[in-house]
Amino acid sequence: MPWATLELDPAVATERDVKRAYAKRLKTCRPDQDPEGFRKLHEVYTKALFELQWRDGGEQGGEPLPRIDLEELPAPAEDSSPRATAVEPTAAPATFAPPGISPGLRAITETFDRLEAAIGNGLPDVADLVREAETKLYENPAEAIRWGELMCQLIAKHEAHPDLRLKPDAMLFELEHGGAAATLAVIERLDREASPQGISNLANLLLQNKQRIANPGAGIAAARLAGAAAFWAKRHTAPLADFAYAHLARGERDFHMQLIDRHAAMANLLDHVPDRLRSFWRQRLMYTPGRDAWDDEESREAIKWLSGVTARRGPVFEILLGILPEDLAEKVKEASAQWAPTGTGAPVAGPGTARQNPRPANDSRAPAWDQSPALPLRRERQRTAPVYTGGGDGGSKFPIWIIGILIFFVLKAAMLSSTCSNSSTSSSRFPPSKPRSSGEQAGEDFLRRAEESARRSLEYQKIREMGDKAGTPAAGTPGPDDLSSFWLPLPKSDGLNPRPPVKAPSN
Amino acid sequence: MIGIDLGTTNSLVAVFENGHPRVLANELGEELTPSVVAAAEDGRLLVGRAAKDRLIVDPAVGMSCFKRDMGTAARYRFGGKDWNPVTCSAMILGEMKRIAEMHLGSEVTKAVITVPAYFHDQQRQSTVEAAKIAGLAVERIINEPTAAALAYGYRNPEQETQVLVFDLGGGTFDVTLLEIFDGVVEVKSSAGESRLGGEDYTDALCGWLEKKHDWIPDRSQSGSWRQRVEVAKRMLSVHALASVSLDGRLVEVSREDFKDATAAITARLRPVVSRCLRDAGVAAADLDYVLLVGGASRMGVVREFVQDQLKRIATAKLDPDRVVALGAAVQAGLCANDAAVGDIVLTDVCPHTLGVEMAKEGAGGRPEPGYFAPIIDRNTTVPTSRSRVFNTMHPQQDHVEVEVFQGEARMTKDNQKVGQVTVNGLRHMPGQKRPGEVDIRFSYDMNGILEVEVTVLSSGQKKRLVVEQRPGSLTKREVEEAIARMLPLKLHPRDLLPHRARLERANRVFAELVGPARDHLSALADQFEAALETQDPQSIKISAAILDNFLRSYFEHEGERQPEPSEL
Repeated sequence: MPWATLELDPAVATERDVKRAYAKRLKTCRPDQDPEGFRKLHEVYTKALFELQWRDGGEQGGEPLPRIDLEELPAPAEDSSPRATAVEPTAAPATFAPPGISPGLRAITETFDRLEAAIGNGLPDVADLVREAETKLYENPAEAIRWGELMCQLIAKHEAHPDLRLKPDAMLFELEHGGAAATLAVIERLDREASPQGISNLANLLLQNKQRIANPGAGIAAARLAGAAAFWAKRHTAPLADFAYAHLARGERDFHMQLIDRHAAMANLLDHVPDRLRSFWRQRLMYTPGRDAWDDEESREAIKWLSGVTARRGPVFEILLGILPEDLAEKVKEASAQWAPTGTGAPVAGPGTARQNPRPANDSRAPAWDQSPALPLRRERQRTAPVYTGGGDGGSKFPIWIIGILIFFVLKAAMLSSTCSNSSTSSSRFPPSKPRSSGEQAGEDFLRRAEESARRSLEYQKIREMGDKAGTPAAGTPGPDDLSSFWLPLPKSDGLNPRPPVKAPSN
Repeated sequence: MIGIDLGTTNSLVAVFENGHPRVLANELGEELTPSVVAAAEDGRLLVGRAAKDRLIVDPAVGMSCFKRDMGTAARYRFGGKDWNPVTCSAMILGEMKRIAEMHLGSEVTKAVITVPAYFHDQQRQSTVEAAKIAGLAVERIINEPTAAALAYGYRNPEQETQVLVFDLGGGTFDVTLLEIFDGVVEVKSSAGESRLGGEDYTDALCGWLEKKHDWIPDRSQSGSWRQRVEVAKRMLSVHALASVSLDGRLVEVSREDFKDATAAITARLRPVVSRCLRDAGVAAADLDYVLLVGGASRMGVVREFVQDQLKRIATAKLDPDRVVALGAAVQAGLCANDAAVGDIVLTDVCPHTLGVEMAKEGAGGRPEPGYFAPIIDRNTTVPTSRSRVFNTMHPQQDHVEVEVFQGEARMTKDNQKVGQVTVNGLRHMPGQKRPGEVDIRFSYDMNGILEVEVTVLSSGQKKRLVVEQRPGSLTKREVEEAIARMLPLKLHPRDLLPHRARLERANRVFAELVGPARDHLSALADQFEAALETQDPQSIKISAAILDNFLRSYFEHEGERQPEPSEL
């Protein structure tokens, strides 16, 4: 009840009013004389300020990135092309006050206009113009942020242009002077291009120049890169995350760290996902949650796939639903209802029940599966599994239950990262964190859950075999060893791990 | 009540009188007392200017810059006694207390002491202990930048202003963003580095000159060499060129050279400033003022840097060396409910993130310990109290070790451990409401002292943190012992202090001179000492005047600021 305490009307109160009211009340509960009263008052005060920001932010609407209006500049000669006119500052809002335009910024904008025009008209000198733009950056370090924004817009717009590439020096220079947008755009592109090599190189570059680029902007870039590295390169993640953590502002840290955790969890999860759905998961799920209608080709395919696995695989993939945006999860649930007439909840193997009731080999729901489109389950080449070998029942089933465990924990990790943000007052279903337990107990715990997961993976294997029968390209019955590579655990990447990234097989 | 600025290089004491803060001068007539403790040749202790001059002659017989070691287990040995940062600081605080008593004519028992905003819990505790040893009760520990802002803001606290305080002292660097409105001085965010300051600039310049001229001073010269470089550094704040005598010849160093030599240090300022702005969510353009505090902020390179990064000219209307002490006095006035400052309320933040260690479940299901789980985020307004619920890893797990850390790193191994508490009775039992859950509550008070309370939610059992293993902090008994040990320590009689300082100064100059000038100084010093022996005021006065004359001409020649000769 912030407004009642401050005796203000939330609809009309201004920031000034809130501050005045706060100051007035503060005189009666000074922090040194009445700590408890002060604490409450301060909470009310910050809340009120926060709500004001929302209210006013909402009134003004989402503010677009300010663009620069330079009417007095002579238009480039290529202005006649539709592309070039489209980028002329039509949408320039007045938010960027004219007195702020320095000569340096003017020069930068001018270069970018030419660059944009050149790209739009398919001129060959794009590479030279990019170099020129970089030079302009070096000449005007004070405008690094603005430069980055312009470059970012350009890269976002002409993503595929082969010559639109930044030199490492330019990125470092940008980060060093407080900008980050251009570097972020480059990372975004590397991520989209699925380029483990590029990501590794960039990660090395940033890590080698830690001292030089130490500021919050670089922190964001490093966090973003750590996510991409966790996904594509499976290394560099920890040092990048450490660097990011040290430089992010306090409110940003949790968000970025959770994102990295999600990337890492996703990376493991997506080792199993059909290739053509990878980009969907990567881009749509990680970066545009909630804003989608989930109505395009990719989404439909993903929903179909997801509903298939959800319907068939019981509790493990129930958890998967937990990390999806709510609206997508709804669609998946709807879809899976069509898949499994007996209901999605049925195959749950609860911790206690599964022991007594292992699923019969020929499940009654097999026909439903057969009617479904072929699940694009992926085959992997043979690989020695670098997985946990600490006990278990061994035998031919050994790798399978390990897989089960991995599925279970990967999903848990994903879950964990998505839930721990709101755990400050109440505990979540999956513990956000645990103070260290004794090793013995952890081991015991591990084995117990391992057993549980093993049973689940048996179920999973059956589905696989059925899927094979249903018409995926037959390449022989997969042995247990084949499966193990699906769930390569994410290396505890400390930047030293020499393991090459897991490559997606070509089929 | 007095306000004390306990600095790395210099310390000051100020009082709030008649509606205004005033810095008090010591017996030498100087407001800045060097934070140096040394043993004289006769085994007695020297504090301040005399000790500083003594150290230049022989760096091994005393200690300066011990503030940098506050909160660590550092130990020094000089004058036949063992010292640590706390006892050294206590000597300085005792000196401050004496200066204040000299001016006020009554005993002083309470003080407001300033510390760098970035001082952590242990360093603050150590400061409180040092004051205790010196016989001062600490009324309030306040952050230096906050004090500086108070010194500026106490006159006009109603006007809404956003102020960035850029505090670069001898050994510490702090940036603080404050908002002042309607009589509220609110610290919004604070960032800093506890081992970055003017001394580093001097070191860098020393290194640069040594490298350029391929010369390394031997041990006996190193004190005076550093002193000469220090003087050159100060010259460069005013002039474009300065010269240092190096190995008998005069070498020049320009402002550009200095900028190059110290570029690596200046670069370390940038992330601190940007973190502070970012945490407060304030853009550099929204600042109303940038205040420069701390002697090192006089340097041209630093001003240039501020101008570059914040795009504005910084204000230094009040003397950067004195403003913190003035602010401490304003706070003392606040604490004493002085009518002139009665309507200012000051709110501060905790500068570090505080949290516990947690384990995450890694990709393979293995518990991965060593992650830092923040509970109180940095730059949260204090006093504050936050809690977070944690679970055990396993139903059979009976106890958890709650390890408390502070710092900004993702992994706890890179943060600083401040304490640990163990709770039992967490094993899951049938019928429990919230089995295996603990609620960890951190409470942080105005003086930056942390209290941890762990509650087992299933049983309601509570446990408070008993902080163990704190390096550098003293137990109660140790404090008492230290006080007992300090009592018999003989200081030079107060009325002789100026003489002592003059003699140390003469000794120092003696080491720099050669030939006839040296002999002449030697004769003058002997004469002065002989006069002291006689205890005849008239002859002391005359010989002192002659010696002062000589020293003054020497310092004028060297371009160093000579303290005003005191009245005898």
